[in-house]
Amino acid sequence: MLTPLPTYEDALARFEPVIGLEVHVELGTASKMFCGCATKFGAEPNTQVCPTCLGLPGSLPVLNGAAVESAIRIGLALGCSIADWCRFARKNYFYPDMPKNFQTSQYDEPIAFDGSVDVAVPSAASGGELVRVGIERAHMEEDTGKSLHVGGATGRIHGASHSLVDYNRAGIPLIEIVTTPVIGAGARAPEVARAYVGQLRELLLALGVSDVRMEQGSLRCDANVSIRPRSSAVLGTRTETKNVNSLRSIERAVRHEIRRQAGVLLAGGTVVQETRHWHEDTGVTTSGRVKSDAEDYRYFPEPDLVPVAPEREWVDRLRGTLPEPPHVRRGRLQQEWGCSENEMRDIVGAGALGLVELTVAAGASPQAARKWWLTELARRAKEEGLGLAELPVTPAQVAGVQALVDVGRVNDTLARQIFDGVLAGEGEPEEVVAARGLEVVSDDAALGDAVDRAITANPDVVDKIRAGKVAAAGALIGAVMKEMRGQADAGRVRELVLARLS
Amino acid sequence: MSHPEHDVHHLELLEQLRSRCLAPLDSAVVSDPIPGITRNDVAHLARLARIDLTDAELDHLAPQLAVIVESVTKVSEVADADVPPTSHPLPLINVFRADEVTPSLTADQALSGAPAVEQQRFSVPRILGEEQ
Amino acid sequence: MIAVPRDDLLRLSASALADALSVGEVSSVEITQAYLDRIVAVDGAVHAFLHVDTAGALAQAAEVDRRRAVGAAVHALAGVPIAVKDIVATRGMPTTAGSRLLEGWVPPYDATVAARLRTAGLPMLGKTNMDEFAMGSSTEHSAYGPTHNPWDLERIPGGSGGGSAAAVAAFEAPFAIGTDTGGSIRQPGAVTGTVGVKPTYGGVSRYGLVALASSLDQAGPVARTVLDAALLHELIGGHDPLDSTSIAGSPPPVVEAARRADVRGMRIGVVRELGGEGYQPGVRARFDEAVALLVGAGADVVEVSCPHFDYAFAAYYLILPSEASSNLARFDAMRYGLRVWPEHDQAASAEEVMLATREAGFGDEAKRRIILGTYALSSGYYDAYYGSAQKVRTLIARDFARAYEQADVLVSPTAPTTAFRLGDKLDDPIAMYLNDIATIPANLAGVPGLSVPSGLADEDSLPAGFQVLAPAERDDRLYRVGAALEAMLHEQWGGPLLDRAPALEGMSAC
Repeated sequence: MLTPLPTYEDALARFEPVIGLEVHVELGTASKMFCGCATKFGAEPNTQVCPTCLGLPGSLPVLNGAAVESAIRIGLALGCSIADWCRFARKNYFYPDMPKNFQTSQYDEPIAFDGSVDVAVPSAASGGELVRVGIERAHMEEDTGKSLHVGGATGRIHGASHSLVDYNRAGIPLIEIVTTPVIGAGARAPEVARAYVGQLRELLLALGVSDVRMEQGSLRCDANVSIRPRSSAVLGTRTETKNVNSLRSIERAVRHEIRRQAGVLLAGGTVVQETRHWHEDTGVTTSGRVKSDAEDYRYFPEPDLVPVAPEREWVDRLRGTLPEPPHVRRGRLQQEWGCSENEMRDIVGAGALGLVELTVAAGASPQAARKWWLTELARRAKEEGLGLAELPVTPAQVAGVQALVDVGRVNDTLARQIFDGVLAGEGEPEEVVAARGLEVVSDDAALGDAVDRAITANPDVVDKIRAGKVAAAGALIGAVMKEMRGQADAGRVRELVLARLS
Repeated sequence: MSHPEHDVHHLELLEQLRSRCLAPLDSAVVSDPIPGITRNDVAHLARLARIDLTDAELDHLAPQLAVIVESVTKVSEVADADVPPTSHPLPLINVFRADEVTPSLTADQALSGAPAVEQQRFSVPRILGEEQ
Repeated sequence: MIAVPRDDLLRLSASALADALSVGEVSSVEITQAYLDRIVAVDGAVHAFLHVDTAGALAQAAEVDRRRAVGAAVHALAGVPIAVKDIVATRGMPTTAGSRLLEGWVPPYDATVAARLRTAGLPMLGKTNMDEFAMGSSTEHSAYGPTHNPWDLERIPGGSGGGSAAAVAAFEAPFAIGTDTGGSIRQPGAVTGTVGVKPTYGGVSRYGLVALASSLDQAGPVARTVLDAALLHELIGGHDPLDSTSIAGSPPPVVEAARRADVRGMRIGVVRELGGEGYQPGVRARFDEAVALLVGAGADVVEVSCPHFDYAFAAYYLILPSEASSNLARFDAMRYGLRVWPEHDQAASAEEVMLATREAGFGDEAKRRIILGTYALSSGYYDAYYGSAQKVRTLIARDFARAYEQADVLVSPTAPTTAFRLGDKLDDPIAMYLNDIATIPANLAGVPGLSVPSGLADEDSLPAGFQVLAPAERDDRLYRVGAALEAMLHEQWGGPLLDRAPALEGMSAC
């Protein structure tokens, strides 16, 4: 009988989690890393291959200069130092999706190293905090082919009778980004992991080096997790979890793995150093391959490629092409929007900086943009378990809704209903207003009729108003709003009521 | 056209060459003893190299690999810490290619040597391990 | 058209054939046919060829003749047929690299070297035999049976490129393409009485050469004369954008150097460590005489010492297996080549099929070197093994640099002995490896080397070779010295050394 896992709180009471993230980014170059084959997603199998990426006998690699440039820009954006001189290395192991049975990668000479990013981690409690995540290295390598496993039940490897390999993807440029161990995130480790990857994604998008679509595999994440007793100074044994295909999965997988490892240790066992596989449907990790030190890749410098020594002038020029560093951007926006430190912190903490910026660019006031993203939309995102950026509503749409409020065609209540419609995929704000009939009634004649009906129906309230208790008008306004199903401007209704009764 | 008397001569020449190339000049210079290669070592290496050596081959190979032990001993005499290694005989650096698409093979060409093809893909036997 | 007698055709050098073609004395089809007939006549005994492309070669020859007839501009060597070592990928022609693993493999692409031959219009007679994946010094490790030395069919033709050298020595091809990783062009040249050149590393494209040791491999010419080798060198050499390690620009002025053949004022450095004890006396005698001839022609001789050359063998047998073990990993039964099911078990896993295929497909020597290389790169051993060997490379390169301050070229016997008998060294791998002891240093440093016949050794009347080594990218110096020596020796002999080789027609292999 399986022992249930300890609760997350119990696990964190006894243990401290340490996490590390390895992210692989497929670059959006036109051609592959070492040959001129196209890199288009979704092409017919084995139509974007050549002797080099197929590893035919006699073939040789030639390095894609644009990939080097992207690697340097990524390194710079992550605050890394760029190597004066580095080489490629062969990582030797056998696997059918690897045409040469070695991967051309970088081993002890990565092109970028020793950087860091300040990650904005949203938090309901504190409004968000900045966590510094160290970047150990970013290096260049090539992607492998893709296998279809045939004959098994689930299309997965286990139980398959054979596999069919397509090498279109083999040789596409990859940048591997590895963090230093993130210690001290405590109970927030899962959120930190997710926020880091989310922010990295945005950074890569802003650099224009990849379309970073996790569902298409152009951004892949492996999560390393270990735990140690709170009193210990020694790092625990870590596992590497693969198949985390969305930001949400990252958070869930890290959280689960912490609990699982705590369960193992609390039962008196030891954590096995291994690769684990995340299952989004069942919410657990299963054992993959024992990751032992016997995995001997026999690295040696790649003799078919010559060293890469980026000239300092080139690196400086590339530095000039980077988007604005996050803290500079934050300072500028704070000034432009006239926000306080706390307000900025809230925005950043909620992961809403870019969204607010884009909403303002689409025409909304900073206050309105802030209001919608941090209150209404943040609430809905939390309900769905999504990040703000993952909600199916765009900054332009938010600005559109606010524009309707600004001209008085809808009030706040109706605006919320418009968001209901947009989030449900019913279309643009205007379309939702039309389809659902959400516009504020501004026709005084219609309003006046409603006011009259309310007055007629509530004689005692009318008496009170006439006696001088103006506040009692609220009941009449309420009645009118109810009849109008909220589609009236409450202020105007009040004016009409008081005008009738004065 | 055989010259048996020269065969003996050949063996002498061989020994002279061998002793120049492989024996340490001064046994005192030899550093830590390097482990010999056992039959088990060879079996492990064969596994790593994906060659299913027979028992006879395993027996046969281990002593022949002694050349490597002798080579290491020889090389270690001069491979000091302050000598930089050469990975490329030519001093070339920064050889890049423009990011341009060039013609690929057709699928037929790519698959032309394949032992088995299915759905325009390379059909391979069932894979046991996970990807790395 | 004045017909040239068939036998004369075979004996003409490639450059003489080129001249005859250009003035219309003979057609490419005639030449090619003559060689094809020769192959039929003698290759049963010699076994230089693994594949003969009769139809293809004649079609290419006819095409060149047609272009000449309409006055189109053609390369100087157009129409002169050539043999190509089976390590070179040739589109549409089987390429086995001497291995069972690639039996019947037909590449869908051409190596750059092959493409340059085709563009220039040299009909390809076929692919020549070699030690499996270029590992060997005798061609006995070919999966398809050995090649026999035309001088004595019971003896080895050298290796790994014994097929190309034997084809040229047996007049089955005017010249050929070889590859040299530790001496595989030069050593066969020495033991078959032919000329072989390893260009500067990077001087000829490696794109399309089945890789053995990437930092050591180089393609080069195999010919009967130094000028022929120069002409071929010029054709195949030069930058290739498909090879990251190829040198920018065109090859050095090798043809001009071969024609000039003037050694007056040149400083010739005799390398102390490449000679002496362990070298066959007859080989040494021919070497010493050759040096004397060069002095007589106006060169100065100095003795130089390259002390780290004594470590070259050890470094080579750490570096080569390491790189080879990685380069040969691609032969795994998944995408091309041999696929063997273990005990015919069609439910076996990919890993099991790899294990069974590589066991069945690789020969002994390949297995030895792959295991060695896997060991030398293993974690815990890298620094002492591969890492240290790469340091020795640096020391050897420095020795060369110092030597080239004192001399314009370095010289030595190409190989320590003449051709030994088939089977003599198969039980003793190190004995086999020692054939390359004089040629290996050049590959480690990347400098160019040439072997030209120095004469027959007294003990056995078998050919010996004279090796010339030049600084990197100064390949022209090889040809200057080689051509000068060749001219003087031909004068001494009354003709080329190959005139003295036994007639093969009608002989069968023993």
